[in-house]
Amino acid sequence: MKIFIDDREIEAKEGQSVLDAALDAGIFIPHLCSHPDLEAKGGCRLCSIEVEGEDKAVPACETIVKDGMKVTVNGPKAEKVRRMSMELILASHPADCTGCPKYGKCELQSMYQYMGVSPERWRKKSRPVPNNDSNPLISHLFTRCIRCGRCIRACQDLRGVKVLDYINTPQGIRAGIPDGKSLAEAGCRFCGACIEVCPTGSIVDQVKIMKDNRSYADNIVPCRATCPARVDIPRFIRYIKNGDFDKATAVIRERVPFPETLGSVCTHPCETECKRGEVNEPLSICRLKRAAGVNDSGAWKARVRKDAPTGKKAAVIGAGPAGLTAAYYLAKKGHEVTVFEKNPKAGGQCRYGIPYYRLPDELLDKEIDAMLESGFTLKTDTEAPAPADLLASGFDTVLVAVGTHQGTKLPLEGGDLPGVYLNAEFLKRSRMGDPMPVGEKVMILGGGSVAYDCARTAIRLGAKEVHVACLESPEKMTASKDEIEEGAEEGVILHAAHSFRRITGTDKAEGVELQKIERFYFDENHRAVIDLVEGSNQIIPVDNVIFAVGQKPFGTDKMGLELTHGPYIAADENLATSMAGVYAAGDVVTGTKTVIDAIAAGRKAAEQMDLFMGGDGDISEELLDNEVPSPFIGHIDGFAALKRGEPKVADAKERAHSFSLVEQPFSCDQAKCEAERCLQCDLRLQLTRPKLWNEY
Amino acid sequence: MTTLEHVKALKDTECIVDVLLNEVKKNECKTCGKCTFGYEGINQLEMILSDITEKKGRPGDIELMDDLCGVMKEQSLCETGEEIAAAVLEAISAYRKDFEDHISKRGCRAGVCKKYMTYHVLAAKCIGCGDCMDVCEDDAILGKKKFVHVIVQDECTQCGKCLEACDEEAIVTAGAIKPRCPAKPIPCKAK
Amino acid sequence: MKQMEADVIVVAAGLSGLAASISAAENGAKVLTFEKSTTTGGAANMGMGPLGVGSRIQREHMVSLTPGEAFRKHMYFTHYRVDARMVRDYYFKSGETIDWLQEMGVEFAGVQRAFSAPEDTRPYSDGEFTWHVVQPEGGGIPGPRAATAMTKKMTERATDLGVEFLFETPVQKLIKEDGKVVGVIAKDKNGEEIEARAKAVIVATGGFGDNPVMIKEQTGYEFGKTIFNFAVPGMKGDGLKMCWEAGAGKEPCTMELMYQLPDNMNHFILDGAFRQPCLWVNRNGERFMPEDQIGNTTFTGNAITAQPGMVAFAIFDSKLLKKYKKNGPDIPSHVHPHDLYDHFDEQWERDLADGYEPCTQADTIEELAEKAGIDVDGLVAQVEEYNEMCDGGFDEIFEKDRRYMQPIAKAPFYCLRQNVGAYGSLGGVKINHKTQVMTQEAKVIPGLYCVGTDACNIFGDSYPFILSGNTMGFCLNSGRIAGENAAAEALGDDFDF
Repeated sequence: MKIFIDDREIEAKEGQSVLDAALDAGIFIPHLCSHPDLEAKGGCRLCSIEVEGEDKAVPACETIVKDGMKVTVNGPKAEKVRRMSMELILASHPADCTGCPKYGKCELQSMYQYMGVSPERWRKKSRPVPNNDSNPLISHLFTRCIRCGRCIRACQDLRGVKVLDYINTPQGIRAGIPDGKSLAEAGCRFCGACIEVCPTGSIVDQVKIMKDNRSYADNIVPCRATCPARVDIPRFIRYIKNGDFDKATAVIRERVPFPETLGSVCTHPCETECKRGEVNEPLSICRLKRAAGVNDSGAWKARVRKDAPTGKKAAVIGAGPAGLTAAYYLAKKGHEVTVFEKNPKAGGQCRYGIPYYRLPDELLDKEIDAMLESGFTLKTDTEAPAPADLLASGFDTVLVAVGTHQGTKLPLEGGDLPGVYLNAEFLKRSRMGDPMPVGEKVMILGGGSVAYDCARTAIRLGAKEVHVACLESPEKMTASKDEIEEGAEEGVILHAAHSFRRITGTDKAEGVELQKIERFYFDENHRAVIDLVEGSNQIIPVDNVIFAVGQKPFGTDKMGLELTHGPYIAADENLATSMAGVYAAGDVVTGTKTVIDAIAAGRKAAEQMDLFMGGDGDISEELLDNEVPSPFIGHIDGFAALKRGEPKVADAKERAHSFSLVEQPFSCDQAKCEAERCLQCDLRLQLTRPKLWNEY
Repeated sequence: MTTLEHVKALKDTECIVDVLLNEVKKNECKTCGKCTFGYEGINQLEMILSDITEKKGRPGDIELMDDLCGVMKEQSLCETGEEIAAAVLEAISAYRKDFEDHISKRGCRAGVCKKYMTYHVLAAKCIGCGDCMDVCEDDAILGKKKFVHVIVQDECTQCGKCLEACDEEAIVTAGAIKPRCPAKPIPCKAK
Repeated sequence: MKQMEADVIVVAAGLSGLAASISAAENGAKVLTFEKSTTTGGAANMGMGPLGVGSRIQREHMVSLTPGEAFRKHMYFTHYRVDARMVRDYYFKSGETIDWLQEMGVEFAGVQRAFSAPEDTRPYSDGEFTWHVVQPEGGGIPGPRAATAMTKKMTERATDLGVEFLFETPVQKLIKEDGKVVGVIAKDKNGEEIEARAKAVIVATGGFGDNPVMIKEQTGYEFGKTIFNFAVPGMKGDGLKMCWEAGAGKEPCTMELMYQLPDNMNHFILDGAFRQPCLWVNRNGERFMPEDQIGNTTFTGNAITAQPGMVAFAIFDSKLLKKYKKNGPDIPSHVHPHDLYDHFDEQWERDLADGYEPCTQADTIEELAEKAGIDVDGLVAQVEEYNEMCDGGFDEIFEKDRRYMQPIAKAPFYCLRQNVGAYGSLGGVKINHKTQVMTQEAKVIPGLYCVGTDACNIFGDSYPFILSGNTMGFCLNSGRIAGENAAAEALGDDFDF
C-alpha cells in the first residue's frame, strides 16, 4: 500500500508501523525505545508524528499504516512532544558522557545530537547508581539507564529468559534484576542480548572481554575467532544440543577434515577464550567435537564438493595433518594430487608422535580413509624426490609439509651416554611396535605434551618409577592440566621448576642431577635467565633419560629451498618458499605446533596452491543448509551453575599397564547436556543494529 | 478521592501546592517507569512542587508545569499519568495566585508550608529556661538563664523543635506579619 | 583489500575533522572521512561551543575585543613560547568561522566567558567574551552537550557537500611513498582492510586521553594514580602515532588540566558539593592557594599538580554544610545537579559506608587529618590559623575574598580528597601555520596535515582560559585551515590560503 510521509509517497506493508515503513523507505524519524527486533511499546514518544485526521501527535512505532495515510514528521505538535521527551530524558541522564564507555557509539548521544535540544529548563536529576561489576561478563552502569525497556523486552520476550525487569530502587525506577539477585542467581543465560540492545552505556560488555585487536564479531564470539581453522563452534554445539550429530559434524567438516582426531587431541585454544569460563567453567568444546565425530553417520558426504578436473597436478611431501588437509582440499578443487609419505602409514605426528592410548590407529585410519575418498593418491613408504625434481617431472606445484620429526638434545654432561633417548624416536618406535627398552626408573626432561606422552608411554612399557623434570613452574608448563593430572594418577613424579645439571654415570646413564629454580624468566634481550636455589642439588638415580625438549625438521637441507633458524623452511605470509610454485606449511615452517594449527596451515596452503594453478583460491564448501537459529532460548533455573561434563576415563591402575584408550567419548546424553551449557554468544550477532540518523 | 476531586474540594486549611506535592509523591507513575511522560513527568512535577513548597520556586515554574502537563495529559501511556496531569492543570487554573504567592516568596496562604513561616519567641511569655536552646540543632537561638531568648532568622531552618520544647507557649510561628521581638536577649519579665 | 580513492582523506570526524572535511569539500575536493565510532562530533559533543573573536554576534553584543588583541593576550599568556604565526592565523580566522557556522544553520545563544574572576584579580585572570555557546534547537537554555546541535549541522553540511563518511572504520596507518603521504590503511567493522588513496591526508583523532601508556610516556602522569582525566573511549593517540611513524616531528604533549574525583561520575554529587571556597589544604595540611580561585579549574588543576603527591583536600564543617544546604553553594556550577546538597547526605553516607577512599568524616580535626592522610600537626595548626583569620575577617596569607572566610569549627568535619584531572591531551605533532605536518627539522611532509588536539601546540603549559572556548576554537579553525590547504594541494592550486 501507499502512504505519504511529508508529502513523499512511499510503499508500506500491511500491518507495518509508520516508523518501520518510514525507516525502510530511508526516511529518518527519531526513536529510542523501539528496536527493530523488539515489539514497540510507545514509551519514549521520540517518534511522535502527526497523522492527518488526528488532533494530537501519535507515536509512529504504534501507528499501523493505512492506505493513503498522510503523515507529517516534523509538525509543530509532534516536534513539541519529541523535544520535550528528549529534554526530560536528558534531565535525568548523567551530563558527564565523557566518563561513559559508550561515548561515540551511544544511540542516545546520536539522538540528542540529531535533535540538538537541551534539558536546562527542567530540574536536572541524575542519581548515581553504583556500577556493578560483580556479575560475570556483563557490567551494569545503571546510572545511565533511561528506562527504554529494550533490555527487558529482549530478555523477557525475545529470549524468554525473564531475568531483567523494571525495578523500584531508592534512586528511582530502572532496569535491573528483581529481588536484589545476581545475574547467576536469577537464571541469566549470559546471551548478551541486553547489552546488544541497550542504547546507552547502561549495560555493557566487561572491558576485559573486548580486545582492541579483534573485530566486534570476534569479540562477541571469541571461541570461533580463536580457532585457527575458524570452526563455527556455537553452531555445531547447537546441533549437538538438539541431538543432531550429523549436522554438527557437517558444521565442523566445513572447516576441518578430522573432527574425531581433533576431538581427541586438540589443544583447544577456543576453550580458553570461551565466555562460559567467566561464568563457571568453559564449555568442553573439544570433547563435544569428538562426540559429533563419533556419532556421525556420514550424511555430510552427500554434499561434499567435487569440482571438475582441472588437469593440474600437485605434489605434497608428508602425510601429516597439514599435508593431508592440503591434499584433501586440492583434490576437491579438481586437481590431481599425489601425497608422498616416507613412513609406512599416513598421519604424521598424529600417527607416530601421539601415543595410541590418546589416538588409536583405527580412528586415524577411519578419518584418513574418508579423506582419500576425495580422490588424491597416497604413496606411503615413499621418499619424495626434491621439490625441483617434482616440478621438473610434471607437477605444477609442490607442498612441503614434512613436520618436525627429529628430537633435540640439550648440551648436557652425560647426554651421549647409552640409555639416553630422544622423544621423537622413543614415541615412534613404541607406536611401530618396536619399543626402545626401558629400565626400572626413567626420567623425562621437558614440560610439554610430548614429555608427558613419553612419561606415560614409559610407564606402559613397564618402567616402575617415572620422573618428569622441567624448568617451568607447574602453572607455566605447556602440558595440559588434564595430562599432568592423568600422568600423576598413573604415577608420574613431577619435578617442576628444576634445572637439569648433568646426567651421571660412566658407561650408561645412572642418574640425573637436578637443582631447584628460584626464578626463571626472559630478560629484555629475550634470553632465558635462571636463578637457582643454592644447595638444593639432588641426584635422582635412573636407568634411562628421555629428552623431550623440542623437535626439529629433518632432511630439509637437501630440498634446495631457503631455510631459516637452522632447518626450518622460510615461507612468506602466503606460505610460498624461495622456489616458485613450492609452498611449505605446518611445523616445518612454524616449529612444533598443534594439529589444529597444522590443519589451518594446510587449508591456507591449498588456497594458495589453487590460486597458483589458476583457480580462484576458494576451497569453502557448504555441507548443510544455513538454518537461522531461534532467538528464543528460554529460562533455565541454575543455568550459571551447570557443571562442565566429564567423560568416562579408564581407571588409572588399569590403564597404566596397557595402551588402551584412556578417555571415552561423551555419551550422546552427556554431549547434549554439555552442549546445553553453551551461552550461544553468536545469537547476539543476529540482532539488528539500529541505523543512526547520520546513516540515512 | 481522585487527585482532581481533591483539588476541586480544596479546604481553606489546605495549601494547593502541598496537596499536589503529596498526591504526586504517591502517584503510581513514580513506581512504573514504562513511559517517559509518566515517569519523567511525575518526577519533574515532584521536584518543581517540592521546590515551590520549600521556597525555592523559580519564576516560570507555573508555565513549565503547564507546558509539561499539557503534553503529559495526552502522551502518557496510561490514564494514571493523564489524570495527574489534568489535576495539575486544573489546580494551576483554579489557584494560580497561590502558586504565584509561593514562587514570589509572598507566603503560603494556608500556612502549611513551613519554609514560609518564621519562628519567634514572645518576650512577654519567655521565662528564660533555655529549653528551646537545648533542642536547637542549628545553634540558631541566643539567650541565657532568665533572659528572653531570641531566634536568629538567618540560622533558623524552621524545623519546629523549639516550638515543641517550649512549655510556656512563648514560641509562635508567623506568616507575613511578624510579632515584635527583641533583637538581642533582654532580662525576662515573665515569671 | 578494498580500494578507495579521493582527493582528501580526513582521519576521524570529530570537530576538527568535520571542519576539515567541510572546508576541503567547499574548495572542490572529493573527501573521504574515516571515523572509529558510530557518530560524528567526537569529544565536541560534550562541549558547549567554540571561541571566536570578531564575530558578528560579538559585535551585536558590543564585545569589542579584536583578533589582534586576542592574539596579543594569547601570546602574553603563553610567554611567546608557541608558534605566533599559527596563533595569529587562528584568531584572525576565528570570528569569520563563527559566521561560517551560522551560515550552515548553527545558532548561538550568545557569547560568554567561562567564569568571572574575583574583582581584584580581573585585570589578569578574567575571561574574555569569546565563548560562542551553541543555542539548542527549539530555543532551550544551553547546557553541557549543547554543541551537539553544531556537530549535527556540520555533519549535514558535510554530507550535502558530498563528503563520504565511513563509520566504525578506524584508520590503522598512513601510506607514505617517496616521502609523500598518499593515503591510509583502514579497517572496517567486519575487520576488512581498506586501502584508500588521496593526494592529501588530514589527521584529526583527538589526542590520547584514553591511552594510559601514552599518558605516562608523554606527560609523566599515571592514569588512575596521579591523574584522573576524561578517557573518552577511542582517544588512543592513533593520530599522533601514525604521524610520528610517518616521520612527523614531536612537540611536547600536555594534559589539558582540571581537577576531579576518581570515578567522578559515581560520586558526582560530592564532586560538586566540595567545589567550594571552603578550606583547601595539601598533604602537609597547608593551604596552597586562595580558595576563591577554585572555580578556575585550570589553575586549581595546576596548583594540585604542584602539591606533594599531587593531591589536595577540600574541608568544611557542619555549619558550612548547613549553610550550603540552605542557601545553595557559594560558587554555583552549571555541570552539577541543581539540588546537589539535598542529596548530599545520601551520597556521602553511602560513600563512607562503601569505603570510597577520597571521603573522610571525623569529629575532631586530628582524627580527620589522620583518616584522610594529612599531616596531623600541620592541619591542626592550619585550621587554628585559618579560623583566627576568619574571626578577623581577613585572609592575611592569600587575601582570599572575605565573603568566603568561614571558620572550620563545628563537628563533624567533612573532607574530600581532590585529584588532578584533565579533559584530554594536547599537542604532539609538529605543524606549521598551514597545519602541514613537519619533520623535527621543520621540513614539510607533503600530503600530510594534522589538526585539532593532536596538533594543538599553541597553549603552552596551560589552557588559556582567559580566551574561553579555546580548545574547540582551535579544533574548528585548524580544521578549516587544513581543509583549505589540503584541497589546494590535492587539486594542484598554486596559491596559499
